[in-house]
Amino acid sequence: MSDNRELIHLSTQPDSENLCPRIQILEHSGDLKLLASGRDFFEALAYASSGLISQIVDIESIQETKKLPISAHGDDESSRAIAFLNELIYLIYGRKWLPKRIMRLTQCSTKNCNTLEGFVTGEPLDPERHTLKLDIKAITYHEFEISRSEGMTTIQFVCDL
Amino acid sequence: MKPSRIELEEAGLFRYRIRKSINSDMRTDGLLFLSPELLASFRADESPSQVANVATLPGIVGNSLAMPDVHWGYGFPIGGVAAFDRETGVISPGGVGYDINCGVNLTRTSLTMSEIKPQIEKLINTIFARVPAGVGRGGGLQITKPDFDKMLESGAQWATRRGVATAEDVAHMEDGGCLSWANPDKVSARARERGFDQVGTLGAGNHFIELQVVQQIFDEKVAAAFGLFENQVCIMCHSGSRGFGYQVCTEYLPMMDKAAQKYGISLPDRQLACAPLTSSEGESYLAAMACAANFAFVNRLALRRGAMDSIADVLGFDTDSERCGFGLVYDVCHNIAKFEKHTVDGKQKTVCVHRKGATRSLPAGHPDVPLAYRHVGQPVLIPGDMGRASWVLVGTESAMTESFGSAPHGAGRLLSRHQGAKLMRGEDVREKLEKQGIIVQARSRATLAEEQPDVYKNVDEVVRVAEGAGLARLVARLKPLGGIKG
Repeated sequence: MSDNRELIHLSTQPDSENLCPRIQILEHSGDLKLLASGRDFFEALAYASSGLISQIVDIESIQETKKLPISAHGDDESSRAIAFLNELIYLIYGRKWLPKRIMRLTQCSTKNCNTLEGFVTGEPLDPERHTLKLDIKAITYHEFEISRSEGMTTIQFVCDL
Repeated sequence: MKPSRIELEEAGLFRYRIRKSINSDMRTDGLLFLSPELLASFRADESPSQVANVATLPGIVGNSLAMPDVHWGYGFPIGGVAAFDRETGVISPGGVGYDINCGVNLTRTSLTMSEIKPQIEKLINTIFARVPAGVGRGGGLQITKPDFDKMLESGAQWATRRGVATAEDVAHMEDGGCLSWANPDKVSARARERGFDQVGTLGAGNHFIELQVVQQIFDEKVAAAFGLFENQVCIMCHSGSRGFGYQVCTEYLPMMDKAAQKYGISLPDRQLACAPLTSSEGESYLAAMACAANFAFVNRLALRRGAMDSIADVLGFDTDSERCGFGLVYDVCHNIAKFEKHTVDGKQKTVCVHRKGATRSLPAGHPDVPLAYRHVGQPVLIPGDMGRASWVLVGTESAMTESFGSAPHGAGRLLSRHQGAKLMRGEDVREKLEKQGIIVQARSRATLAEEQPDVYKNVDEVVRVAEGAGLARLVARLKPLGGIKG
């Protein structure tokens, strides 16, 4: 691993009990806007992921039977975060696999490396136990924002429904 | 550009202009077709600034346009139309939307209101049971993987081979239900995976199948050409390219974002990511977009077939019988980009017209109008909300000069989904509609709340402005009898 690659092990994994303070649904004229916060980019992204997943499916109904690697690419942090969230959308609707927790996120951003990667736990979608509540087409660039202040990182994103 | 800073200048009947002088990056004016009532409905809507943003894109010709149902979208506004020079212009996935070739088809029947009135509820329930609807729902047309790619290439032609449509149906579709430049090699395995089991599924959100009755005819000659008469029952299907199209757009947007940087295109909004039409990136997107468009054509044909079979079953007729008299009036795209010939500055030019939430509106005599309608013009289908009305209009010559042959595509959203959900519960929406004689079935009660009539602008006003501005002429108003949603 190169020196400029950060590694985080989330000490507090997002779960249904502590989602609320970390994820807010914001008023939006058309679709769905979410704001997730964490102590750093990785934690904020993990909460953003959980917020996204919980809009689509009851996150409590997902069992962690498997762990998959997940990666996303982009020339800047915003692009990588959007690509990462869109990767979750693909997993859910394309691969019909339900992610629950995001783990061990790392990112490198040098001239030759522009990857965000980690692991995701979850299980295949089982229509007997899981009901998809919402059709999210994609995460958009619109009003996408990563902000940092006073030791907190927030990620704001808009989903096209 | 913030919406509050956008000055809209009155520019004649139902026209408001955004002067390019307000922003040095704008290459042309913005022109919005609106009434004062529709303008007032904007509230905090950012769509005028989006019209201005589109005007900054390279190679734009004519004005950056907004149809009367314009409202906020991603990159382009919904209801946005812009044409780009073939040599110097760009293609932008944000000018098409995630739901590539979302559109509408309308099927006429030989049935009248009085014949089916006692059976409306049963008809709706039967369609609801037969047609897969709802979030992520698959299970429509059974299809093999090699056949899937053939469908992407040949669109509605493939549907005729599968018995989903007839040659006559195909003749009544925009571009014959097939964009010929589709190339499945430009589509990822992931897009195939996301859309593979969704051909013939309705989806969720604002997509629907409705039974409607022709309430009033405004132009007897044109209505007769379209096979429409008062009290006639019709079927309207609204859907698009489902997860397949969403994934195509999702994957091409970052590629176009990179391409914009590569070709030195400055963007006021990353969602307007684009590439020159002549670039390999632009050509690849167009080829993949065409695959999604062909998917959507087939999807709507399959939905329609499900509705027709349901009606025939309930009434005890054969689907193909004269007693049912099913015939496709037309199928229109309202999220698309295509090369078309238009007159620009007095010269015929081939331009790439982006219609995002806009319907093509071609006049009588235009070679792209189906032969059966060429003496009157192209049907312009404008769906409304669940409670009010939908409309059939016909294309005009003035639309060719004013809007690159474009007209509105629907009522246009007024309130957010969240606001809709707070306005009335889904169950109450269902009851309220039932009291008006409209039977609605939905997989999700939340969808009913989010899609209730009051979250949309009044489609009658949108249509009034479209006609007043010369974008299309009135033919018929259709009233909903019932429908299914996801």
